[in-house]
Amino acid sequence: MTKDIAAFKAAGSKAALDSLDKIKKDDLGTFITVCSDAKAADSAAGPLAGVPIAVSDNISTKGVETTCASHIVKGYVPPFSGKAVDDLEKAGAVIIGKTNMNEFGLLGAASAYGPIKNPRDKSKKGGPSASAAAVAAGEVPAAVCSDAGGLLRVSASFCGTAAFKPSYGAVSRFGLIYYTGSLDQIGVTATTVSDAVTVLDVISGNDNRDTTSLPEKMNYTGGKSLDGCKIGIPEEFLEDVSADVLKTFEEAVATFEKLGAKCMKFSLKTAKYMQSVHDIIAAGESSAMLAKFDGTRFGPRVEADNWHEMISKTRGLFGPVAQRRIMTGIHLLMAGQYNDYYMKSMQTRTLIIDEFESVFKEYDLLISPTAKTVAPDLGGACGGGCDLELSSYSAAIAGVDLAGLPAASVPCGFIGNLPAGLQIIGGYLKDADVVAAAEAFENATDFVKFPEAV
Amino acid sequence: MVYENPDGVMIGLEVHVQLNNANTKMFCSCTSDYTDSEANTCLCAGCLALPGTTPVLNEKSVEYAIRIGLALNAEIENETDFFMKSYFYPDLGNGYQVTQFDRPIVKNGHILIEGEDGELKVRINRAHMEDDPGKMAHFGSIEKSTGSIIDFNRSGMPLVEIVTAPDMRSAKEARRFLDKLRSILEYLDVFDGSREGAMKADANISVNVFNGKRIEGTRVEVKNISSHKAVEKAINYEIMRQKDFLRKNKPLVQETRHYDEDRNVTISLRVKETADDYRYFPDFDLVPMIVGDRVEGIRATMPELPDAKRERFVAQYGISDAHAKSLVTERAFADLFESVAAKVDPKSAASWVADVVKGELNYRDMPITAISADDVVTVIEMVTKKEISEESGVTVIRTLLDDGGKPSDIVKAKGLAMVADDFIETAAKEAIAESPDAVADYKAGTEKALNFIVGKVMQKAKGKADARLAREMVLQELEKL
Repeated sequence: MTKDIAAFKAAGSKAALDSLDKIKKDDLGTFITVCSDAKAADSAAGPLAGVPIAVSDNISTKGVETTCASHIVKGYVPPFSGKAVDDLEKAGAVIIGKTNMNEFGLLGAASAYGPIKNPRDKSKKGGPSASAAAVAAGEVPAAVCSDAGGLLRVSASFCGTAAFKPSYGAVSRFGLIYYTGSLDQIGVTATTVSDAVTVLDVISGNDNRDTTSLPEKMNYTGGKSLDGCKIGIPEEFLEDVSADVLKTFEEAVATFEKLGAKCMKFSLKTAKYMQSVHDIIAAGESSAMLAKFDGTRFGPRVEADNWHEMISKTRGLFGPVAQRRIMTGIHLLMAGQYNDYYMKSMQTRTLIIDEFESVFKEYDLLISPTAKTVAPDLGGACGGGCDLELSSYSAAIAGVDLAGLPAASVPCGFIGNLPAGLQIIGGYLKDADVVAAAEAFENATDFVKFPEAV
Repeated sequence: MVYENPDGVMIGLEVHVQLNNANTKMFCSCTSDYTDSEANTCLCAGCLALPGTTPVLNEKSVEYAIRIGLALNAEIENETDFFMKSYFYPDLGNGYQVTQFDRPIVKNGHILIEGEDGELKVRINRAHMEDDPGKMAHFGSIEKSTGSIIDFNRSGMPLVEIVTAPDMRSAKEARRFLDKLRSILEYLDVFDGSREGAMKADANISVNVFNGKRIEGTRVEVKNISSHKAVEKAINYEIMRQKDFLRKNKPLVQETRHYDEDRNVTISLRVKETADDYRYFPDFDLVPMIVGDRVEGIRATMPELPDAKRERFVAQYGISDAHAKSLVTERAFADLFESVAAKVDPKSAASWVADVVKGELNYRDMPITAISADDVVTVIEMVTKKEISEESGVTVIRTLLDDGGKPSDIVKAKGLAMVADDFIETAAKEAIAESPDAVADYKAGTEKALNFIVGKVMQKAKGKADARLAREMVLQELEKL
């Protein structure tokens, strides 16, 4: 069902057409905009020459409508492309379209463009971002997507694709329409970790337009071997995980042991704060980041007699979850409660970062289930991912965001037809170690080839 | 003499300085020189706040803020950061302003001004960096406007907001503070004060004495006063209004008022029942800056500031303090003076530059570039060598400004060359012969009578005689009688 980069490359100039053809037949709701006139430049060279790549609809694409899956951005055509998009095009890739997602990537917020179905079972959810579904459906070999709260990783877990989110700052956020800038980072999902890294390597590197961008380009190769590797398992990251997913996780632990790693459970003391802190910071940041959508300069406008009424009505185009998130953020940042919540959250975030730092002195890697369950049924308040109005899927996802750590998600088993995901977390800037471990795990198992091989 | 401050007036100023010499805007590469550009032509996706844009700090604006801090005798914070200040307004694209909060880059400084009773130290509480929003224009008055348009050329301009302690006690002191601040900022080359909106002030005013008794005054903020002259008027109006309210026992409220320059009144904009909640929080798009290690390097490039220059002028050139003070208010005048003083007697240079050149330029509202140091030197030399009279010297300067040309040509064309000594001698003899009464008066001891005779000589020479020489000649001839 899935096709990797090599398979698309083999199709040569037909690759983009194949991709478009598949997307046209798609009834999964994976794409918001399809670049139907997209084709590879004749003399395209570079590591992704002629390869169709999907980009999530919160990453700006010059001349191509970018909606963040929200009514309030509908019709907006950016006059510039994000750094990741420019890099992909320079590498010869064909931007085939913009993938569906929860509104602005907010967990629990429905897309203005309908639900995202799971290609492995259309009665199930495809995740909060359709990037993994597009890969799992064989429409593209890889998709680029932001990952705040687990947008990318959780989707990959639900759809059985590999995903990699690098250390904070590895990929420029320029052109990414983020709602929580300090927690968001662009990553890649593909059929294999190697393919994800191939694309990630193209879009990584310093960008002087994003001051949080790392000064040196991230090197994803030469990571530590699993032989003799110490892997920590935070007990708190196993809480509330469904029994069948937990079983696949235990099998994954056994695989790591077989590959020469030592796996140990331990208690991560700050884990219990991670989701709340993530929630508070993300809400606060979103109240400021989503303030620019006021109908004054771009995007849709609901006309009214004066500006105050116009902006009120226009901002009514935000979906209900986004509206509540913004109101929560505004409330949390007001002087009366700033110190009690926001300030405390920032201080706790520092404690979380500190604890991760000391944990990574003890362990080379941490592992956890990526999602607590397999893909849930379609329906519910939100068509996309989880229905809870939280900014992160779980503590295991939130902690990685808060500390800006590199993390991969790889399929680690199937429950019936539905995949379970394994999250491998590395220390800050230890991206190569995560890549090495994820590739070793992938090579030792057959899950990426499911269902063909099983 | 001690200034009594009978009404217990306390004035604090918040001055917004636009760093329009910083080449680019604060967070993008658009030009900071948009004054002569058409509306909405100096902008990009960043300063238009399109989604997906990220701010990149203009390092020059940081350097300028540090320069300002050093000039204000202030402390420079080693580690400083930006905050987001949220409010909705059409000209504020992002819906938040990038500003500073509890760690402003500059704090605890002061400048010295000429107060009501001598030197006054005005404390600077803080100076912080922020970006400017766009500019709104309304069709008709703000209340009855049928529509508004926005020009985003100004959006993202780097600003430094300087906040003083309430140390000024009169409108005059507030104005002198602004004059001094403007002079310092121009020396620093951080802004061009002549551009529209380069410097704007908000004034916090309270009257704290009523009927000779100390009272708890009410602080009223008068916003967005654009000219120094307007500041003085607005503050005087506000003091008068507050005193009037106290006299009539009307309640004063803490509020923000707008100064209407045309009507010379302040109008209530909004009553502050609670402080505005701008939901300040750290800007996660901009990492905290460590600037401490840059301070000494910047200090080494600081220009000599007006106070230091004034002292040096008096010591080095032996000119009067009044001349020195006048010369240093603008760096260009001080430079012109030094160029001229290098070639002629410094005292003559001071009086010609400070009294004549500056006055004539101001009268014509002309920039200092309208005249060259060489021409001023030539004029002073001609006067010193008695080739022309002082009066003619002024005429030459005026002609240079009005019509241009070379001093020597002007002297020739206008026939300003001094008449020969023997002409004056003859004229003196004639004047004495024609004024027997005055001669008699003089002989009788009426000194003033001499002026009458000298005046007659000058008349005969049609002003082209050196007055001192004419006087000497008249005295010489009178001796002979």
